[in-house]
Amino acid sequence: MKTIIKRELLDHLQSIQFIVLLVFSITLFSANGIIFAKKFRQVDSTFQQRTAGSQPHPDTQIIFLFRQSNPYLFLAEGGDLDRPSAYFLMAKGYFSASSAFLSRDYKLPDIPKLDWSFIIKTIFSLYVILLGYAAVSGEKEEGTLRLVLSNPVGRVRFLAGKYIAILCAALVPLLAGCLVSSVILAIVLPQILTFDTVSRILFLLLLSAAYLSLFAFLSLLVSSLIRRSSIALLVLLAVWVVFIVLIPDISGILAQKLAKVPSDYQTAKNLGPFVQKEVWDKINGIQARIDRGELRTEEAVKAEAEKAYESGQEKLRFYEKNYEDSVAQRARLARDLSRLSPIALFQYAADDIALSGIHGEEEFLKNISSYSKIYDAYVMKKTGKLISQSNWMFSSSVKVDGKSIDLHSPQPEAYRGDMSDFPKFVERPARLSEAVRYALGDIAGLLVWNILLAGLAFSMFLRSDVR
Amino acid sequence: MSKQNLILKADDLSKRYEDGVLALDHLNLEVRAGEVYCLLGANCAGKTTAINLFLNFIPPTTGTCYINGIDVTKDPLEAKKYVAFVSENVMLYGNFTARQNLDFFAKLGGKTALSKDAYYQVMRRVSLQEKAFEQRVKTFSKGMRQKLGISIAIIKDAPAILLDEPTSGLDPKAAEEFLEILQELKSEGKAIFMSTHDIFRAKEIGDRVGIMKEGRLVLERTREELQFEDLIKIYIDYMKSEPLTA
Amino acid sequence: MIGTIVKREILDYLKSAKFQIGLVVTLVIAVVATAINIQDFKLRQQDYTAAREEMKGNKYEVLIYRPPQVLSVLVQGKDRVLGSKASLTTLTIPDRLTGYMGSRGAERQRSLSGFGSVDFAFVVRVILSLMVVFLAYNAVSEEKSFGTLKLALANPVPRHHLLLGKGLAGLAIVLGSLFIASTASVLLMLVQPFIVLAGSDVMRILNLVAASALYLIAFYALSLFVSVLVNRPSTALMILLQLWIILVVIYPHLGVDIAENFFRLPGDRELSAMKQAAFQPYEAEFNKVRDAYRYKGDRSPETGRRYFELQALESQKSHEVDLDFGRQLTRQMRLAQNLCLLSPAVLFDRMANRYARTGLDEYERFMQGLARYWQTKYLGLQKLRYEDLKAYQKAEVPAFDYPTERTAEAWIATIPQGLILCLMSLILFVLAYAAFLKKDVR
Repeated sequence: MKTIIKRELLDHLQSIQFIVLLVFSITLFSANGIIFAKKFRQVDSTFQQRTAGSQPHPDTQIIFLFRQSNPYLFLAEGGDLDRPSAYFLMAKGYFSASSAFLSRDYKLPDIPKLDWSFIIKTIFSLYVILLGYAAVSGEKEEGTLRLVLSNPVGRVRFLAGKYIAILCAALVPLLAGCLVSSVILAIVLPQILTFDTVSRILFLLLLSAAYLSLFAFLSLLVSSLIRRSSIALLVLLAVWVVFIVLIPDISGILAQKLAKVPSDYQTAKNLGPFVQKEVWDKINGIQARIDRGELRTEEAVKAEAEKAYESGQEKLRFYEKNYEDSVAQRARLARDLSRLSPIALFQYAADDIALSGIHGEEEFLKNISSYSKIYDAYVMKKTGKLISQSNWMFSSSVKVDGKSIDLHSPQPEAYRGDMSDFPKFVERPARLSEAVRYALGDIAGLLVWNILLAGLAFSMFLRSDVR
Repeated sequence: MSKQNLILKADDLSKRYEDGVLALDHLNLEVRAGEVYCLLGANCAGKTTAINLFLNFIPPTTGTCYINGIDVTKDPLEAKKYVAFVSENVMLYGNFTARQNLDFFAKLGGKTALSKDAYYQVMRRVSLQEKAFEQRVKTFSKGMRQKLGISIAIIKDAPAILLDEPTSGLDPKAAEEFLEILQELKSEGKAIFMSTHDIFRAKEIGDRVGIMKEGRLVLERTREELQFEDLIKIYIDYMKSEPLTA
Repeated sequence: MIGTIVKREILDYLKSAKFQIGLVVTLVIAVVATAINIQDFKLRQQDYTAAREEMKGNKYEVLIYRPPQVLSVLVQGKDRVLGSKASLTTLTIPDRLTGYMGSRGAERQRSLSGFGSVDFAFVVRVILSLMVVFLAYNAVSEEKSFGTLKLALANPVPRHHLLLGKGLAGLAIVLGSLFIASTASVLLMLVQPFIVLAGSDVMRILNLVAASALYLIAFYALSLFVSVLVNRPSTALMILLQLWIILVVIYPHLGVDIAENFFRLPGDRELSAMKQAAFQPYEAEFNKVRDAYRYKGDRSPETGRRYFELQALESQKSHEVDLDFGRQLTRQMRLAQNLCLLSPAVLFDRMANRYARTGLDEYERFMQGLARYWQTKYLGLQKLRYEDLKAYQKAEVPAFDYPTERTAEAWIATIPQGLILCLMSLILFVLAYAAFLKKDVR
């Protein structure tokens, strides 16, 4: 078996595919290092500017919470740079993404960022196919398969040797590239290369090995099934296109159909009637209740107005949150559907490790939620009252016993005093173990693909005719 | 013999490749109508180079090839009208049937208006099985492909036929059938030039036999001369002798 | 003679597994993608019409909606992601469109990003170009390894006839597949009752198909050249696939990444500072007039008009900053495009988006129309409020229309890309031709 691996490896190392892959790998990974170092510096300096100073907020009415720049984005960007970089937080745990801090770079083509996971998932998977498509069919065509198997070499050993050789031939340029990228990052941004980062890098490499191994099995399977190597390559490329483009794209569209989310327009259209019914009706109903004698005193009227405001506020939030949740639900469905493709499994697991995907965002929102309690306590302490800023306001006047009373929506009190004891928001990014827990399902999926394809490849090769 | 009968002529033909190898060294030979010339020699002796030069696949370093009196280098297309070629181990177009292959090459050879029957006739003549006529060539055995190859040459009906090791890899029966076809073509007055390793068949069919070594034609014998000599012994002796270029 | 060669080559292609598999895959993907995109277009069209009817805004906040492009069914481009609603007030000229929910719904929509779109343009750019590579990689190299090249050239056939025949046959097959795929997609569009194609749309579709043809021909010429140059078919295929990866995936990618990091764009803080600075000279006056109008109850027509004028001026100044920022983004995008000038895929994308009106050109045309509308019609309406309140109450919100691009304009704009593609194909064909004439056919 050693002989087979040695010969195969030598064969691969001398092939143009290997040399091209090595060149690509080093070029792309160094581009990755340079670009991400530059981007990180830029994003990080913006973050530092925004959060600098001992008193980052002018008052307690509404505060901005800024997202820390994620140092792991070079592993998997996961849409992180397109997410809002700031949220505003109000009393009672209301927070919302600030559209002013969305990425404004909308004119460039929407292509995935050049991170490690992109290079591995597209370029390397394709090269594993190129290294492996002729493993069996090519040898059949040239007649060398008969020659090899005429010796006392078991078929299992033969195929296993091929598999190991393909994987090694792909992993060598991968490691070289990763090393180049890491060295560039270590020189330009020494602060981000911590023990934690290194362990995430190693974990991503393990994940990549599992991912590439699946493609090695796949190409061995197709190569044993199809006699002509050029047709085998064609079939493999078709599968690759299906995995990398068709499944993710079609699941996005399918999710739109299946999730039954009211469209952006429907939600916007229904907002008006909803506000009328759930919010304004109560305010308008106050006069009627006064007339009916249900509310007699000014205090009662004001308390009722406040109650109506509070419930309207909650309903409005609920309406918006409902929409947001249903969109998020649809996104989740799309992701689940696209998990049919091993490429998606790999991507999502990589995103989790780099804390950049949907789970990274969820973690951040959890951070905000837990911080909002501290914030509320502080506001309570300083102003004695918790009132949240709202998207809607009212001002109206009612008559009680012939006396006109102005009703206004309550405004949060702006405490502008000494804020030196203001609790600072410190983001606590998820630890690697937590990140891995998120990725567990996807990793298991990759392993299942491996086992399945390995089983099929070996059984097909054992049963195939060697003519 | 009159000059009219001279179909193939190599005049002081040499070929030195870019890597400096002298593949052919001042070859002079002539093949007349109704004559079979067999060129013997080990691998790399220059036999295939000679055929490539006749077909203008490569330009000669010095010298000229003539086909039917036409200078091959000067007017290759005109020259190629008068020559048919059968290569060693030709694969042909696997997705096409025997007749379609024949049809295509016939048209390339200038025979544009042949009927199906004409193709069938030629294929019967080379004794290809009837059922193979409309079968895809990729299912053919080597003998069948070679028969189809010769029928491609026959249908072109050119005065000269060049064969590059046509019998290599054929079983004895197939090779025998192949030679019978060559005999027939010879009797029709074709000039046949064939490179081969097969001394026995060369002796049997060749009107003249040349032996090449390291690009040089070291010996040429007519059929008459060979009746008194042992070709096999001569050939082996030459093969065993010291290299010509020290 | 050439006819014979062309006929044989075409038949050979038609019988080959690669062509059959390729055509079926192409057709299935093209039809499925178009069907999905038609449904999607239908929904967006319905939303757009309903929004125009039902969410009209008022005289002060004028709501303008961007219609979905009918040709986005074939070329999605950026049509879906660029937003569909703009809200105009005296205080704002929007520099970007939002979703129907306004800025509130915007951020969550991004959760879906990462899922691209499959459309006819994708079929051409990826699937058909791969098929072209597969069809042509062994055009010459396999004939050589099978010995048929020698056999063919032993006949009185000039070499260039053989190559020409092969080239013509290959082109016929490639263009035939393109024709089948585009006919299927377009027919599927035409049978939908809600899709009405104007004459200019048909012209644009024809242009789109022509651009696709140019793109595929460039790939065919490249494949033919490599096939002539390289003797072993499998090596030729490897080289071609690697070139394909470079041209379609890596090169455009690097172009965008380089362009993105080439210029330093102002951050949000800088932008707001710039906006403030631009209005600085009027700030004091504005504060005075505002206080007089809003808090001191000075409702004289002069103060009202001045207040309005200064508000309009402020939005104009900040719009200028936005415009300048937009220009920087455009410059960045152009740089990305120009860096990728040698990638046929990028050239094709530019042409396809232009023809389908789904690129940024059309979007910017819309935004310019919006700014012009604000300047000329919207402000005119608001002015009335301070000059003639009765007339204001009677006045209707002026209709918004922006000049649509004529097909000829799009055509002229894409001439450079088309020329580069043509030139590429020509050079590659000439190279293939020269290499074939010199080729050692032994």
